[in-house]
Amino acid sequence: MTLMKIARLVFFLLIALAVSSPAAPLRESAAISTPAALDLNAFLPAAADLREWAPKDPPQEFKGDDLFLYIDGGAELYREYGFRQVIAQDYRNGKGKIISLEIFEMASAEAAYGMFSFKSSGRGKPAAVGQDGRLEDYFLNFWKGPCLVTLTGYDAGPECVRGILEIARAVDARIRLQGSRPSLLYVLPKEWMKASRLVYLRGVLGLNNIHPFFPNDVFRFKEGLAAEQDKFKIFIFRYAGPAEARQRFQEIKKAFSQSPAYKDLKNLNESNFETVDAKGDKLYIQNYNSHISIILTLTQTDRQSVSDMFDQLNFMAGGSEPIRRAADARTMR
Amino acid sequence: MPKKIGRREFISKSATAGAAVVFGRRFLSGFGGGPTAAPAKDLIDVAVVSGADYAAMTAKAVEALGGIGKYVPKNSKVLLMPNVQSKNPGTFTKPEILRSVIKMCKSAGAKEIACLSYLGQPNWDGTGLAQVIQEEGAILKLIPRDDVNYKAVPVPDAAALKEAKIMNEFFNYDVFINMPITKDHAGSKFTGTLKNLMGLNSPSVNRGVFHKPNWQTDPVAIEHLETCIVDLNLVIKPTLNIVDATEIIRTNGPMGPGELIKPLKVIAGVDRVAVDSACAAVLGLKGEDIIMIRKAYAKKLGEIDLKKVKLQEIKI
Repeated sequence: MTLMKIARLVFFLLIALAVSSPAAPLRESAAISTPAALDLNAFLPAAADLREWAPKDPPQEFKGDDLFLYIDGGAELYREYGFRQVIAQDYRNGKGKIISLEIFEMASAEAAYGMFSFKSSGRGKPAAVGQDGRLEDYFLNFWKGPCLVTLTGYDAGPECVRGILEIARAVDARIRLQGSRPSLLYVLPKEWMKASRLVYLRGVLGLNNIHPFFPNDVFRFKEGLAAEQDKFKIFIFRYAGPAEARQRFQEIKKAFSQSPAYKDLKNLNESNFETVDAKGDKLYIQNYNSHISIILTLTQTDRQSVSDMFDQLNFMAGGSEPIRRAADARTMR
Repeated sequence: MPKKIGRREFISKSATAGAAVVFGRRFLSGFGGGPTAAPAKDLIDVAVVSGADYAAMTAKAVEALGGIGKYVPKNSKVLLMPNVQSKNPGTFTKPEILRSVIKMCKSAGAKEIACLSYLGQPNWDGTGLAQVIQEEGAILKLIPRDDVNYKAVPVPDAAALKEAKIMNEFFNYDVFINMPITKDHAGSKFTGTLKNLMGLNSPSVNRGVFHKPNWQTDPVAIEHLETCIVDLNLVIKPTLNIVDATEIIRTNGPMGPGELIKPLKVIAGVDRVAVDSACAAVLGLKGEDIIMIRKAYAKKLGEIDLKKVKLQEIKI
């Protein structure tokens, strides 16, 4: 080994030690409600923080299971990601228009990122608030630390959007917390970070809202990703270890082979198979380490492109996450 | 003049034309008291009215179904149930639609027109529905969530919900007009007439029986929720359903905010399953895609196949 190679190895090892180690797969308890930890009132902008908007009426607060009282239907998704509490405050301007602010404290920064990614369709445009923000027509979502912030206006006009951004920036300034994105994101090639839609998943309810592969919970994952670009949809599920992933892979293959919604299943090797769905789209499924990846081809795609994509996923899933995180930390807020 | 333009938005052109069936009404209440059944004969089963004037569209839909007089007898007490779950755009029944229905009920000679809700005053204020109720001289009754305000009603032939707990106040009304907005739902992928009835059932039952312990989100838990919704529909039978499909969310439902689409339709009918199937079509789905619609059809609550429904589209 040359001195240069040794130096490079030491450099990468130092980087790997300098950043947090890759997160272990989620424990089951991570996705259930945990006690509220933050004073969300402190994050609500006061009238003095804003030019044209002022709080209207006292805020509403709901903790733990009482989320059901606030979101009567649809609360399950927040629970799937891990919910602690929410505070909701309306703001009114001089014309009597209303903008609604909701601040959700989730169980972790990863959970907040997950709900943010789920609620953002990818249709809007990035907004420079929080750790990631997205403005879509009449509403804006951003996440920061364990907080997911949603602002909803009355229309998509410039006055409303200006108000939404003004309140969002004021909230952003009050939340002095930061958190890490889910380490699973770093399994994706970097260019996929700008996928037209990228959703971090914590369970089957979220998955079924994006792509209902099966009517029952076949994948049984605790952490997953769904991403879409022009040619592919990619789904990545992470398990507790290679043994569990191998076992799930066999169960998943059996489910695909037995479902009338899929046909032409072909085993490519012991950790790869392909099949075709009812729309005629081809699915390639692979087990690598602790992960199971699915590439769904949206266009006529040659197998080499799919193979290249799997290679990239495998490289990123092969233990290089700390290095990747260090590199990305320089380019991502 | 209304223009009958067929069912091309809902049914493929290859559908069997003229196969429409007027279904016999099976909407007799299965328990003592409460609103009565719908009239036995309608001109059509489902009216789908498109336009820009939501109040006029609502009135036209009811007219196409035979007129308000067929559903609201003189001196009757009428219960209306709009969806008031959230004030985000595309998530609640539009005030113009509620106002139109109240005006029609008044014109039919209703003695009392009311909305019942276990949701709080802020929900009604924020959506603008409280103002309409006040301006039109109707009544808003906010029912506390305590079980003492709900009457236990056995559900014969239930698959999951053996006993519903329905607002005591519900039984004081002669006519029940169900007025949801159709929209996306994170669990069911759809919400419409069937699911709206949870607004009459005790929150403690909705929470403790409809939802599995610890808010499970697996498909078994979702199916259980939808089975309970269908069971509830076995004992609450709306006289008429009028659905807001004007501006609705198709993502992040049921609370939003989400992607807002504008089908600009009001969809009405007595047959909940047929109406929900038509609403599902507006969201790009089929009735068969939605568990609760499928199960309601299996329980003979209505017709899922729009080819077998007398559906009239009207543009105004």
